[in-house]
Amino acid sequence: MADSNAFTWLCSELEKTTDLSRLEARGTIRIALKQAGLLAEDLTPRQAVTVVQRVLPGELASRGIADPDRVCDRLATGVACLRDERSGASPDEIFGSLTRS
Amino acid sequence: MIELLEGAAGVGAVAWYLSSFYVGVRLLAFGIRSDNAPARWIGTYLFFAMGLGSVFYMLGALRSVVTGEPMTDLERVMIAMHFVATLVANYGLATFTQRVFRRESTIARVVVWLMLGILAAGAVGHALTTRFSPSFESAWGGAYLVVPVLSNLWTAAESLAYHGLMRRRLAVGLGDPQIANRFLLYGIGAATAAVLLSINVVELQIMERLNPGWNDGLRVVSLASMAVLGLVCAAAYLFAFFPPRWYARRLVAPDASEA
Repeated sequence: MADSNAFTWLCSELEKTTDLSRLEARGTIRIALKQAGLLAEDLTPRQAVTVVQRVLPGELASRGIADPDRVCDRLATGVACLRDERSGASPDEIFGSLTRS
Repeated sequence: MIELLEGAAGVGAVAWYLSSFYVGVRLLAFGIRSDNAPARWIGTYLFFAMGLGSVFYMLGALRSVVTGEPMTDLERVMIAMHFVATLVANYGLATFTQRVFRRESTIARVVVWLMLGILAAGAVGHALTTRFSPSFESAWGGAYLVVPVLSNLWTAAESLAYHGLMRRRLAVGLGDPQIANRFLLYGIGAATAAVLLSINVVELQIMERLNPGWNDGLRVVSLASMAVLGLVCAAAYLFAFFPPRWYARRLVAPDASEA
């Protein structure tokens, strides 16, 4: 399944704004998503903002990235501007729609 | 002892059927009214499997099983209708699970059609070799019985695994507690349904062949399972989709209630 645009954007921006390689940046985001119970293919911009604000700072700090809060603020501001371009609804959205229009 | 267990099992079975039928009809009606395909799939499963399927089976099997008399042609037609209802129901269940949890997986799509193929082959094979006998002791009958068990196990595994993800989301302030709970209850409902459906497989296909004398002991286990798990399954489906207010209130997120 294809990764969401929010995930792809986050990985790309993290790679640009830190010393992390592409692989390290993707791995770091994936670990943060896993901690938050999210999947790369279903990640919405709104969920990405929460992960960047609440989980990613700790992950960046543990990797020795300087000023992780500033990096995360920039990422959160940027990812919040993205459109949700996923091709289909996630399981939780479907389960939420089962009894309400 | 056995009489008591039979009564309790009857209560569990009726609760399971009624709850599934009620939830199935409401979901199916909602799915048709609001053009919601996933609601139609689950509604189809519950309505056809527990509603129509069970009624057709009872109409086809009850008289001949109780009296020991041969089946009439009309009763054979009822068993055939039961097969059709089971096939439609399992199409609904497997399609829901595949489209919701594995929507882009080719393997999952193949698994769905493979399961439906085995189910149809089992029904046709059993019908041709036993003339629509209501007892599924043949190998064809075994194939027919095992597919709904596998369908429910797959659904339970996917739903409970996703509930694990939802719990982690809630811990970081994401997700709706009611939706997270729906994954848990739907998973429990599917898991208990799988166990209840597998009782037939174990009784007819395994224990009967291995050790016919042990059936009395197995009957106690199967009656007790039906009594307890029937109620659990009934409550799980009902609370997952149409929870009473007091239960729904317990699940509301703190920030939502403040708002």
